[in-house]
Amino acid sequence: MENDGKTVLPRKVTEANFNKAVGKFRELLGEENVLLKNEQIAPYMKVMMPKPEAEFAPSAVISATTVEQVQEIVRVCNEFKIPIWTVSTGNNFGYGTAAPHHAGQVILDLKRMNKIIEVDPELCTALIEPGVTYQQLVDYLKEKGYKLWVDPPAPSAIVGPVGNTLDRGVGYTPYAEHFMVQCGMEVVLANGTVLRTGMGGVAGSNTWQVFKWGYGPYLDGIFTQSNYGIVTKMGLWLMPEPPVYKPFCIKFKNDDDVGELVDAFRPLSINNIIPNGVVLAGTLYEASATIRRSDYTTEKGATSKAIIQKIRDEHKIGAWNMYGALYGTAEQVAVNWKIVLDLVKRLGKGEIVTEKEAGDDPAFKYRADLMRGNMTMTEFGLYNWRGGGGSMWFAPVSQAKGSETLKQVNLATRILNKYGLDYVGEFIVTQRCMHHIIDVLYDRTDEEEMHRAHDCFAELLDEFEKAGYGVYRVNNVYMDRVAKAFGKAQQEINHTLKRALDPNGILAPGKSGIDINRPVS
Amino acid sequence: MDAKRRLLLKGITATAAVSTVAPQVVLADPIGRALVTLRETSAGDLVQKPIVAVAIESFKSSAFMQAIRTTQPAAEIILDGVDFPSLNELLTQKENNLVGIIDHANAAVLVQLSRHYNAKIHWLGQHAIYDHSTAHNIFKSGDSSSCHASLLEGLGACEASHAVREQGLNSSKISGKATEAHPQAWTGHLALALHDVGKGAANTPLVLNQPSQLISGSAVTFLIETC
Repeated sequence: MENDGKTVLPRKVTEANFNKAVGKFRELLGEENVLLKNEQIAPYMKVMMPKPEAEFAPSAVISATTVEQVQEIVRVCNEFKIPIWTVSTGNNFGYGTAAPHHAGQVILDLKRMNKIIEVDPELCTALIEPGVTYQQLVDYLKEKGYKLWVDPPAPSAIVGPVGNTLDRGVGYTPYAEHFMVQCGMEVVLANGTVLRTGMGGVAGSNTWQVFKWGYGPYLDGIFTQSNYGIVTKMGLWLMPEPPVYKPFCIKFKNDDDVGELVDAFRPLSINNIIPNGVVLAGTLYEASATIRRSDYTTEKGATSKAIIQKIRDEHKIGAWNMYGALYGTAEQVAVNWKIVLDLVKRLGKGEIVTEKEAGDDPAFKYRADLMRGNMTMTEFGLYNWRGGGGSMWFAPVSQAKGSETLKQVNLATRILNKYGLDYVGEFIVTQRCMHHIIDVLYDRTDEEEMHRAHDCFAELLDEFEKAGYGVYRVNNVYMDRVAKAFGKAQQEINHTLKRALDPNGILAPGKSGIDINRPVS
Repeated sequence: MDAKRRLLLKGITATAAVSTVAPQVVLADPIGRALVTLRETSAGDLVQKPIVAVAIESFKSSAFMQAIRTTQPAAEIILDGVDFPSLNELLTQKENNLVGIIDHANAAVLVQLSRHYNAKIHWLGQHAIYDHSTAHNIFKSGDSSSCHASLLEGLGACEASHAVREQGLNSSKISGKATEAHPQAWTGHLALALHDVGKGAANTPLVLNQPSQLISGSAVTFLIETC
């Protein structure tokens, strides 16, 4: 008997049926790819959310290597009504990591489906499996001598393009909007059918990775942030390495400068003068690369304005630190750099720091690496700011307008400080909108603080919703809550699609608030 | 990773025998009893694999590391910043038991790599350490009373008040006020307990010969079996 009395069974699944399913998984995947022991499952249970790990405990972890195995897995899951929560690399830090929406799901880990199927150096396209990491892709490009860049999100090396794109993540190069540069998917549906989207449906097509739209309804979007299928291959576009790359930072002294800054630089983003995902990093976000809160205070509660100012002064950090980069030929970069300099001159504020002036400043190096797609783990320093292992990304979308920026920063800071937590935030500007990314950092070893962080996040959602803002992504604890914010009509169509594509509800129940066993409310 | 560290990792197998010499049994005190209990109940799949001690720079002189050094680990790795290359190399070395004390940034990477390489996490302790109190969020596998008991016994010998919350499939919560002695000796006791998991042999009593560096803020302890 595999169940040692501690295994969490899936909802409405008997122990006998669960064990039968496990037996079939073992037959299909081999003993070593079906994990049931606590110490094997433990690496999937470390969460940063403000709930006990037990609330996300998986029933088992399985891993597949082929599309055919994935097809057979969904067949077994349908037979025994076993829910499966699929992860590619499972490194969705601050958005749920590898944990399922709720306890009692079998995690399907696709880390071993890690083939780089094709890279076309002329068309700058790639076709990869879900387990491929950015590091792996970079190593491959280097080995082949292809002058192509990737666009990783901040955890870079250890995460993968498929998982990040499917969660509609963003990066920092001109290819920052990952779903915009995705092209073609292969998806195993809940009934075992293998669907190739876009041009992938045409027999013998060689345009699957170059033309996104195909014919008829565009389907790729419904497989992002959803539970309608298991993506087993994905195409993406790679950025040709530019002849010249010029990263820069502009530091602004005052909290209120962010509004003016956004209004001034928005035209440069929309007009592709500064083509990358420009970042506006607040003081504490910037400081976390090198500083711990305990270096300044061990008192609980929000960090005081006086301490934040001291950090700015001692480490030469701005209230807002804008990172952007120019890409192109030497001539193009020279012209665009003059436009940037002239703009800063007209503004009459802001200290420009170039790569040369930054020297070995780790914060600058970190951002310069990100904006050219280099691997860097510096952002993990955020987890040492307060310590304690608690982290949730609160990520409302904002118009790229100064007035909106200030409104969001002030609202978020007020709520976070009320709960004794810090505003550790940045904006990623992608032309007309901004992803406002706030890391709600708290100490999970302190139960009282964990409750506070939970309530704080709920209030952030409530108050931002009242002001007309929605988040673009959220961790498991709040998925149902956020789905409601997007209205009943969206919830109902999502559930209608779910019932049609996955009538037994075996694929990741609860993802993005979609669960056919729970009615829309 | 520097050449010295690589050399240490490659030398693990050769020096493993040194670390598994059975020290003397200690039963006279509650901590000793807890450690014996730990050995008896947490064997699981852990066998006498070489121990690799891991710490971040600021914890390298802690009581935890002093204690683990008395067991003569096969190798000692000090991480440099968020040290993905070193952690990655550690996880790819098969058949080791990694025992260590690190920060949360490296812990996030370590757990991810454990998942990637199918390593087994037997203990993951998240600790908040203040002047007069400590708090602990513990995840462990195998027998639920062993390492937990050792930690509690260790805390019981120190002066700070403590709160311990156990995570996992069965949760529990314990708090108390401790009584005496070295403020962070509990980290040394915990290190020895983690070293001894799965070993039938007796343990080395905790001896802290030199002043140890006190940890302030947060730390993560672990026992991970690479496979």
